[in-house]
Amino acid sequence: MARHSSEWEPEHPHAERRGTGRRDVLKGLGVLPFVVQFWPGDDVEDHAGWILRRGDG
Amino acid sequence: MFVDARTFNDDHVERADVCIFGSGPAGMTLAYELSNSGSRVLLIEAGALSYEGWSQDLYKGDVVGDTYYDLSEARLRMFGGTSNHWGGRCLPLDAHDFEAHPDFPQTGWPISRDDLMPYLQAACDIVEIPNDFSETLYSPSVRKTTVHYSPPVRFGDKYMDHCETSQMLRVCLETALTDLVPEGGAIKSARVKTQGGSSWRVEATNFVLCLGGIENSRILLWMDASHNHALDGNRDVIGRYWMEHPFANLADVIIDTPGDGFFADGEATFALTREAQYAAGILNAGLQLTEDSYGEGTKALIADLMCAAPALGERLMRAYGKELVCGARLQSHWEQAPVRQNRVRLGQNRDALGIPTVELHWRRSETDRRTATQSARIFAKDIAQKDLGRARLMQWIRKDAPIPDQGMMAGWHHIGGTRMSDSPSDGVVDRNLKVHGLDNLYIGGSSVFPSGGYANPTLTIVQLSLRLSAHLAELM
Repeated sequence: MARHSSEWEPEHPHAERRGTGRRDVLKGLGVLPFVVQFWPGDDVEDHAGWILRRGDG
Repeated sequence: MFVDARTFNDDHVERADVCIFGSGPAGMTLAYELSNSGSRVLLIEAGALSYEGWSQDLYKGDVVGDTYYDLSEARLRMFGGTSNHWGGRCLPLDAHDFEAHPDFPQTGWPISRDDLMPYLQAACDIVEIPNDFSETLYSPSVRKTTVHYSPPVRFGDKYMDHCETSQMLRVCLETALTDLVPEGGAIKSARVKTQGGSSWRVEATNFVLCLGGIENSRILLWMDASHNHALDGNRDVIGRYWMEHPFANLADVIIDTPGDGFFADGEATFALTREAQYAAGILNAGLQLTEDSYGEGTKALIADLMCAAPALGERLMRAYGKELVCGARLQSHWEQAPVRQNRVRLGQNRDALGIPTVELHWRRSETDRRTATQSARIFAKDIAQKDLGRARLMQWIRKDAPIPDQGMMAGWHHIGGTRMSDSPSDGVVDRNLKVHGLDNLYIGGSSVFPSGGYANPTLTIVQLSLRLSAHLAELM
């Protein structure tokens, strides 16, 4: 299940692993981050509406 | 030549080989072709040369069901008909649009695409587009299609000179059809009324209704009600199976390395293959990527993708800097399932001519919703698997919500109501567009489509008129 940034827990290991470097890029772009965490058991094909393939992350 | 019908008395009778009602793409094409082939043609248009409020008011009606456009704005009652605000988008129906879909028994035509192909070149010439609708397989389930835009042709303007000078064509403006008189299995005469003037008669060997995708049904229903169901019997088929092309935004898409020629006029068009469509149990859908919808927003779209897939997002951001990726909006207008309850009916109110106004019953079904959402998911999955790009589905698809009914919700394409069928029990006209049970009454326009595919209908309307013209010329 994908989660919105309002639910984001920076200290969570998944968030830490996924988030490295990303916030800086987003800040540089001036984009409000919409942060999605991936939890074990997620459907890897559909993340926050993005239809992705394995390995995209 | 144009004839001033306001000078006619009530006992006036116009005589012709063919009398055509309506001067839009269907009627005007027919009038031009038949008058050039030696037939005496009478073309009767209810509207004026230009837009007139009094005329347009006669198109007022009510919609029951889903949100739909104001019926007095969704079509034009004037010389040249609705072509006067036509967008010009052209493509022919797919071959499988003519087949009965295995999951939807009410689909399928009594003719095949091969029956219309002999008229495609001439139809393209009329709407001033090239006859090239080549396709390539873009991904396993998706074909890239070709669409052309007419200038767009305004049929009144295009054939004005012919209407003014032809000795075989008489054109009456501001003259509305008010009655068709059946006798002995044929239409004996038609009664018309000139705006603010007289009511006179037409006698013709053949009559053709080209009044538009709603009016053909409304006027036939009214004639049927006025003449003890002489047109419909007890079949209750007139006005049934009315359809549109529902429209919605489906996804935001990042295309990786689109290459030269990927977009034509800022648009790239696709459709599912017949096999993918049938396997998914859905109807046909046009999928168009509109480049202009994004522009600078591409950067933000990639940034959003970076949240979901950082590594991919960063790669695409680098590619964006080298102008190797672009963003686009995936939109669709798609085939609506023919449903008996979607129909044109006569309303409770009367127009200025004393004819009941239209009551349009229109709802989008779960099949219609699935056609759009499944098409979007198949497209998105295919381009991800082939690494051609990535798509972010619209929230209404992600949430399994109803099709949005704000903004543009359909294509202004009025289809069905007088559908073509070999059997009088489930259709109004036969394969030659002749009304079942009447020897000399024909119908032109998209109201005869038994199923609508996803293609904008005007090119097919013109093809059908050319075919009808050839048929009537042969009978003469």
